[in-house]
Amino acid sequence: MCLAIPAKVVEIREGEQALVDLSGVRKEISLALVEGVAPGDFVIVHVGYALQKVDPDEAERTLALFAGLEATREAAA
Amino acid sequence: MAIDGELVVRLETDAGRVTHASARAERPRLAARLFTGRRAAEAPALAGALYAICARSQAAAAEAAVEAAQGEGEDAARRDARDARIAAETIHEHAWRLLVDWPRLAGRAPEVARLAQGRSRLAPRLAARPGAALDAARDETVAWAREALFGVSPREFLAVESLEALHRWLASAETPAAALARLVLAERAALGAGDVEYLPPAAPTWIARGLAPALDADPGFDDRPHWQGGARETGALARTAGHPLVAAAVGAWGRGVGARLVARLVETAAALEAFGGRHGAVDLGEGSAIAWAETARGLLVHRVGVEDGRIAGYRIVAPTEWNFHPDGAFARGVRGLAAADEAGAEAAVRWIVASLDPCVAVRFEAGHA
Repeated sequence: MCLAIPAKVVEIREGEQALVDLSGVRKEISLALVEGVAPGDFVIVHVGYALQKVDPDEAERTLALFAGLEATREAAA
Repeated sequence: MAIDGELVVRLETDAGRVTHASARAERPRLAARLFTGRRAAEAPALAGALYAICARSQAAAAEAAVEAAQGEGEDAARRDARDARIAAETIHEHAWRLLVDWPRLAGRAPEVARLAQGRSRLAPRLAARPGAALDAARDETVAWAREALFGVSPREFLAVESLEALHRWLASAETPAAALARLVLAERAALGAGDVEYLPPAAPTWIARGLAPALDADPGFDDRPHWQGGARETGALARTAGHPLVAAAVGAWGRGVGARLVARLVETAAALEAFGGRHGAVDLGEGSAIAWAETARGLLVHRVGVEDGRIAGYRIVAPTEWNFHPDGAFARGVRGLAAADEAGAEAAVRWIVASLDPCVAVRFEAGHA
């Protein structure tokens, strides 16, 4: 049950690669499995590949949900 | 523990012999925390948005669960569309393993472009809505599977029913999947074979009268599921064990890496031929229901309680917890494993892990006896 945490595309690079921001962590991923990705788009990443694009509103909602969970976890810790 | 969970594999070796191996799936129980108190109708979209690689199966199980809990009758068009999405997701996941992950593990170039082509062929089915053409792009998908996986049609591959016929197929098929299979079956066919029994096939009676009471009686079931007192294997091998080729593979190599590879090929071919019967739900009365989906990795169960239209309780049991149970298929398959050295032992363990296809990231911790 790998979580679908949306990552924001920061930069498109050569060779179907992209730099994404995943909750503050930047990493390079492959865009070989999705089409038409541009900087600013949100994608779901799995083992180094963008799996799909996500609607920005939906991405923000999901990120807020995960942020809420992190906050509860920290409060409980 | 990371919020999205991980599988921590701890390996102790002594001169290449695995003296101790354990796997611990560490992940928070999100469903109960996120779903409880929400309107029941919100659960499917949430489940679909939360989980990355099994989104369609999670959404389908959640839809079926909340419908049953609210006493809604089964709608054939909705049921068929969900089955089509789950089947497409299963093909997609198996293809990812066969074309990208396992070639990489074998030191070969991953076939990313072939996988991307398959994804685009499967796209209409991955998104199938009730009433849509559920076998959309069927010919194109079968043509892709022929080129990338089987070399023959899925139906012809399903007629490969003995090891002799398999060896003929291996010798003649010129596809990336056949090249991978040649390599794995030559070098690692019997690797990781254990004696863990299969989980029974998901049928409404067993789910409602067997699994639901077992789950309800044990608060720890989500993390360490069990059936009749023991761990069980779930997934492609358990589901296709009745196919003559899979039975022959198990007979020759045991329930390990080779048999699981063959089972995935058989299941992929079968899912290209027919998509029905992959999920269901049972109304257990008074707002309580259980739903299941046979996903790429194995049985996925959603257990829900609804009160006044809101979620009062929600539990999810995922296939990874069955297969990586402390006494499950991974643990028993690794036991006693011997390799030339530590690196060889770790490589072997990675193949056993991959053959069971965990749905979370894997982290290795090495130790010495």
